[in-house]
Amino acid sequence: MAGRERNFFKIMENETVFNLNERIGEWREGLASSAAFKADDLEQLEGHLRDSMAALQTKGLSAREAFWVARDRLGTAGELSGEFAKVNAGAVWPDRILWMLIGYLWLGAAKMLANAVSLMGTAMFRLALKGDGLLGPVSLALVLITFVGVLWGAWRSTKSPKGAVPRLVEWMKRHPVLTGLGVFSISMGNFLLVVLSVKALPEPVFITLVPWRSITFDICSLIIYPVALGWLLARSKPKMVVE
Amino acid sequence: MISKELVAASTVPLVLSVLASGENYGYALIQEVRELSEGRIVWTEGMLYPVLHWMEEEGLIESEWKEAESGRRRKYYRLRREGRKALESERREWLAVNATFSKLWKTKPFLT
Repeated sequence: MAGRERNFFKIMENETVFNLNERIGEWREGLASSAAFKADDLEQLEGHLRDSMAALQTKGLSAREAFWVARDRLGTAGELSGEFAKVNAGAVWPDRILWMLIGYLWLGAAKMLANAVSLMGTAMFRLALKGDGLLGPVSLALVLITFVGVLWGAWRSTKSPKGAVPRLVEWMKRHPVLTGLGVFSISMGNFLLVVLSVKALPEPVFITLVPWRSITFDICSLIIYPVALGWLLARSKPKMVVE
Repeated sequence: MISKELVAASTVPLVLSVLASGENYGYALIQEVRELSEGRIVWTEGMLYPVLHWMEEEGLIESEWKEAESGRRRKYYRLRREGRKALESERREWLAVNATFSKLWKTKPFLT
């Protein structure tokens, strides 16, 4: 009986020892991870948060309650970074252009992978089937599935900052030379793969497959690039956002 | 609650008007507007700062960091001459709209 009571009080004690500065620090770190905020902006926002908390506490809220209410009133990280990005465009655009460059690299890498998978797959398929009839559709299907699959997977992982793609992007920003070498090696590797698979397919078959694949890639790019550009350009002056 | 569009449209004129009576900083500005509007105009607080930055870029207001008693820094804003001109023109526009509504709704206009 006594043991359980002691546990209860220990839990209460941990709850009330509310490390204010740590929480505020975490909140600020979360914002700082976006390129939209300058150091001065963060200082202004933190000052505001603290003023807001002080006012709430004089009204009778606990430190913890004041923190959550003040934080909520300030706005979500998404809303804030959206509006601040419009005024801090000088810092945000190089970041965006880097992302566009990375996007371009990804499209290229996805294309290469799709090409390689398609050619190898078609070659193996041909060996298995001993007939050339279905090679066209098979090749096209492999290209589409791989290309779309890689892009969708990459896009999915950008949704969270801990995803594979954002972490890779951070690494690429810090190691530009290694990134260049990496891209070159992938390109070389892909070239070798293509050469090997071409050996497994007869020339006339290979010649008919290639244009179809190019058209598929070009159609996808025709859709992807304008959509991405339009989304990036849909920016205007900042306005007061209310829920 | 006042519509999003009205809140957005009135933000700049409200800031200009409050600063007309003297320099002020972000948090106090928001409190002032909330009190004056009797709680009907409630801004998402963090959103005010990008608007203030934009107004500063447009040359309507200027800012200065000042140290508060707590040792923390606060950015104070005040109106520039272009800001006073902008305020005048906003005043004329809003009063014109107000006068029109007063005639239609047969209410007394607030003319000062």
